[in-house]
Amino acid sequence: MRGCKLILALVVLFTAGCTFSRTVVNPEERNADIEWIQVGETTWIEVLRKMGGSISNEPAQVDVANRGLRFSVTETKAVSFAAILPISLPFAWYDARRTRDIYIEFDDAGLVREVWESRDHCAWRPFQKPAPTPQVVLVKSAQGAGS
Amino acid sequence: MTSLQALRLSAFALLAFGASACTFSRTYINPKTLDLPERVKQVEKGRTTAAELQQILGAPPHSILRAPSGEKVYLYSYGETKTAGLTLVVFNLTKTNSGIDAALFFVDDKDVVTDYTVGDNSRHIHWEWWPFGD
Repeated sequence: MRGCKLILALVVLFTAGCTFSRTVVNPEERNADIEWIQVGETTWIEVLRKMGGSISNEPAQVDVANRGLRFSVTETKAVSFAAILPISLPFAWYDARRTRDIYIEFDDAGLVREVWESRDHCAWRPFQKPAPTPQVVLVKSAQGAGS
Repeated sequence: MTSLQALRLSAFALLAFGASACTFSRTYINPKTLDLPERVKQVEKGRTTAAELQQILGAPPHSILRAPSGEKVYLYSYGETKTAGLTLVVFNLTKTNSGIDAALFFVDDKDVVTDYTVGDNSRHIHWEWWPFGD
């Protein structure tokens, strides 16, 4: 009986305030279509006209100097524990990733030069091992697709 | 178990479940331009000037991009975030869905809006509290 109480006390102590939270930005863009983009033909303006509604104002998303445009779905998973309510542990486990990332590069004339894409998975740390760095795939280029 | 212990246990159980709650929160990003999809109906392609555009939308653009062809693109961004959660004191779950949109207005060298596109990610944001799965 005493042992049970101790176990119960430990369980309550270490699971108090266990929180799982997940944030997804622009989940609809997971299925964004890039098949229509033609290397050497599609222009910067055409890409913006068709996909621009999903571009954000972050400087990283509109790289004017390098003539690149980025469209991303970002996701964050966080796990935190409170040792004794309401005292939280001073840290949480986070994994934040671009679960889908499209990067389109343009040449000096404003025509598509290359299209890159990556897909990734976010992990619930510490319960899941984070995935290794995702492979970024060259989907379209003047020389044909590669990786 | 004595009646006093049973009472204490019941009180603890009542407290734990009584203190549980559902959480909902909603955040608007750039609320000044939140009704932009409605206001944009007043913009006439080939007629509305850049100055009139700012009057219609009630705010200056968040940034101006320059196309390689020389065309200017006025960028307005806005969005919405919805968070739902289940708080059971000892176990909490929350899910946040966020939709960030941009409205892009293509302006020619005569400062006339020739075309525009308005994102709709924030219109498809759902309330979800279960954070697991896809």
